[in-house]
Amino acid sequence: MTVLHVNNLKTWFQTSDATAKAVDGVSFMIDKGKTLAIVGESGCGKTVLATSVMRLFRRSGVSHPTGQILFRNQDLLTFSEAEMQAVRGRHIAMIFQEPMAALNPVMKIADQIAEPMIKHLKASPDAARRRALELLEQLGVPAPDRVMDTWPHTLSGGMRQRVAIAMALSCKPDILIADEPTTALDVTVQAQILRIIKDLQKSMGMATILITHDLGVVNEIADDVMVMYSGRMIEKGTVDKVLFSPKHPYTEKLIAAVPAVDKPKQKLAAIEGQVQPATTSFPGCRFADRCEHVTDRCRSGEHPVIFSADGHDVACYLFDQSNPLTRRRVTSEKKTLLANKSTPAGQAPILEVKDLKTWFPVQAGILRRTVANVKAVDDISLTVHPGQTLAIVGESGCGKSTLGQSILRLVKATSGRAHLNGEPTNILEANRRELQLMRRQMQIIFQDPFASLNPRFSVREIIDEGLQIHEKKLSAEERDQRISDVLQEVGLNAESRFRYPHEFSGGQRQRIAIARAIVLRPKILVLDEATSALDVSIQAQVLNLLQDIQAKYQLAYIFITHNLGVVRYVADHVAVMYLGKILEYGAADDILTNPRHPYTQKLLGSVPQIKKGATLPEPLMGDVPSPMNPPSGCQFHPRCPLKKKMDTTGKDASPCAGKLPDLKEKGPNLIRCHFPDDKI
Amino acid sequence: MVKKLPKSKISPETWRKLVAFKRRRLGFYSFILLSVLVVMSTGAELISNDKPILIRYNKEWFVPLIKTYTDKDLGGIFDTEADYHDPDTMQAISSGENWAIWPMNRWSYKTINQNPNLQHPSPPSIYNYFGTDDRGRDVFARLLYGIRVSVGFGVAGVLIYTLIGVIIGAIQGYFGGLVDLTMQRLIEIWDSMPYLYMLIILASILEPGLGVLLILLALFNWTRVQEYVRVDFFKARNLDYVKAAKALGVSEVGIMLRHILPNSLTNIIIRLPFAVIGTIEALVSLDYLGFGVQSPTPSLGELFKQAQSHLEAWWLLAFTGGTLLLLTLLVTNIGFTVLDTLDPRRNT
Repeated sequence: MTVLHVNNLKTWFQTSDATAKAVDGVSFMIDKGKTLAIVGESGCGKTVLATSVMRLFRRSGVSHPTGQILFRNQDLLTFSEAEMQAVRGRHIAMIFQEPMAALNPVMKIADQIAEPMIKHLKASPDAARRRALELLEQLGVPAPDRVMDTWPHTLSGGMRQRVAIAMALSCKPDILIADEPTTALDVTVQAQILRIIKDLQKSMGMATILITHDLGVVNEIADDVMVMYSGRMIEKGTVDKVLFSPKHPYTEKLIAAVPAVDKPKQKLAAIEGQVQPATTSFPGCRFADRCEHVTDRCRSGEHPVIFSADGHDVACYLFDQSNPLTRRRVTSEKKTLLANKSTPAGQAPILEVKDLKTWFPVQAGILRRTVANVKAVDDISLTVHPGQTLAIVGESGCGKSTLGQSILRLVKATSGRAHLNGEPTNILEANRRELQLMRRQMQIIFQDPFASLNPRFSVREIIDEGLQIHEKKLSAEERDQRISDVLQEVGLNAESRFRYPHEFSGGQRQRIAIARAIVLRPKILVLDEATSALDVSIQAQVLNLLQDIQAKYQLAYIFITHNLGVVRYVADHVAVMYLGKILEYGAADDILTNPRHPYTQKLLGSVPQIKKGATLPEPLMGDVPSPMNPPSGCQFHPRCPLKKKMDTTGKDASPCAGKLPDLKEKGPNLIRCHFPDDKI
Repeated sequence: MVKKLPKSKISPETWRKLVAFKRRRLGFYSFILLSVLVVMSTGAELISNDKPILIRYNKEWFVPLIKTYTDKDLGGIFDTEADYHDPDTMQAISSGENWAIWPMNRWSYKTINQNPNLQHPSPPSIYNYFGTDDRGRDVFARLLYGIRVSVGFGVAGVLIYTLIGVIIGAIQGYFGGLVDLTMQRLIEIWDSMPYLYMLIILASILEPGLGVLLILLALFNWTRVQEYVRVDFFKARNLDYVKAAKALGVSEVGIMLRHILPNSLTNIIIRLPFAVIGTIEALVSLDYLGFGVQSPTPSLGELFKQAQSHLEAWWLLAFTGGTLLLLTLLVTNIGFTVLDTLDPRRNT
């Protein structure tokens, strides 16, 4: 039974000088109990489409030149604001990407979940409270009665997202719209949340619209997929058809760009270029500029109509039965397999870190006495070789970013040693002059390309800054030449040096950040989640660029990430971190194909994959404990599946809670576990 | 072929900002108009004075603006300074081959219109364009000279205390921790001192004058700027681009001046116009209490005081208020335009 039928919907925004056609004629239907995934890069209109269905836009500036949103055969576009209020939250509910921003910080959890029930179902406060408690239990919130009376800021991201889901589900809506519900979460928590959404949807018979850019997630929980590009639907069908026999060149590319744990190490198939802004108007197919099969026909007239064959719709002339275009033979794309860079015997490491500790004191009382320490980084030793990549992986809060910033002296380390190039200077305690020499050799790229560039500097000024400090001998012309060169090297036009950061897209900004770092010709680059904020297609471009730069300059990378798919693609060595400690450390190939620590195994298992028949993995339960008050013994033991198994089978697991295991050699790797030989 | 960096002392970014400023008409013309007003009041002696700028008398040159001549020099009988408004003198310097170049307005700020038929304050006339005040002095002249005193005082005062506030706020916000804590407690103690009492006490020790007032005003007002700058710096010091600059090896002063300050300018510049006006008003209230500028020094505050006691003389309030309003508008327009121009998001 169809619950929602969106028919040729257009959502346009009128700005002072242009019309942004964010959604430009999209139709779809969704049945009771089904999940429709909407995928596409940023700027394709996915969120605008969902927000239009909820009618959440202010009236001024937005228009719907055509279209119907039929909910139970009533057109929501004709509803008054008061009528819409009765629909929102009652019949159609929404979950947002950012759980930190979706909850009201001054309302207790119980009140937030109860609010829609009191408003829509006229439930008594008591009944609403009881139902809220029930929901939290269903969502696997530990100690729900205690959580009910706390404020949002005391909860972790995963818990907040659960509360947001509880709010959305409280009135048993007919349709749930989830806008990137797990994008801001760790893979482990993502696995938990996806499972919850899937289970609840089954038991409640809701229709779900899932907006995501993660095709692995789509594969695991959706029934149907709609691929959007520039405000238009370009392909639609069941998950099986779209993901495993994609038709549209865009879909093909999108799938190929996903770095996956089990793909061989190779250059990623990036889609060149980027989504055009919604204000551009051009004839023909909107994807034409980025398409390999483009012909004259694609560049004239309207966007291609939809050609369908057995329930698989595609808007591309390649599939026009009456007059099919032939696929242009693309010079068979060589999958450049990347060799694993083994460490030549005797090659000196470029960076050696020994027993690095970064503790943050917790102070209390009027006298500000230190009562405890948050051990963000605790006794970490690492080696990095020139031209190689060390990946540091772990959930948020494991201390991986602090580790990177401690090595760069952006955060003051408590103790430990770090040596560059075998030199005797301990860079963690270097004086001003030594530090300045070291700065030149080590640079950092941050996650958020919108925050890491000073908005008031032109690109030229941004890149010039380091040169002015470290290349004092260069004249202004020579510096300008270096800036132009480095911009071309990262794939940007040299003319772009006179432009400002806001004129660039996320991927381009990340290139500028890379240019700023490599213009100094450093030896080591710390990449702190450098591609996590980018779309997969753009991520593939940036990763390929990083690979090229590494090969060219023999740069060493410290790649900090939570995305294990990316690790497979870039890393030579991997260190898995948990609560400030390394749990497993060794060669990337080995760890990714044969993980030994139960935590690494779970982490790998949680990555959603595009594989036929892939189902939701058994998630790793619970959250990362507070580093203020870490568990005794092995810090992972409260969540450890191995310990759980040993407890049930009656094996003695008492050392787990008693003593912190050492980082011991096990095969080629180092592993921190009392029972390295037992399997989950 | 890659476009080369233009060889010029001004960087392309600065050039672009200047062009962007010029393109914003309202702000640009406000800037021109304010410049004209400032130039006019700086050269007020040439525009509004009770003596001619140049006299040709008996084939000799006289420059009364610079030199003092006695009545006798110009054919009179007294040894005192010549009174150029005296009908005899006027006759002497403009008859026959003699001539004189007069300023546009023939009154200085302290010249009294001696016309016995007038009752002061007198309304605007062809002799006194903006009327006279209660002592028969020309309102136009007093406004022109007053702008110099009041605006000069306002701008100088605000610049001084903004500078102090920015420096102290920046240090507190950027370094945080104990530095911030200690300084903030001291500032709170300083702030809790009653401003006017302090002023009265200090005025009894020090010789009152504009310089002393300026220093006192700066000492008691910089905390208004410091509050905002401190918070802005506190927020900005953990931003990624600040960390990136640190990783590049930029010095702490460099980070504060080049990276954080430009991004917190909004809070500072938005307040400047109102701060200038506020300072002018502060001078008005000081005039009231008798600690302000001393008569006959012209000031907008003094004119406001007169306007209040002579409500029937509308021209006092209208022209003084109008001048203040115009100044506020001009300074505000310029402030907003500068903000716009400095923000690359708004002019590319």
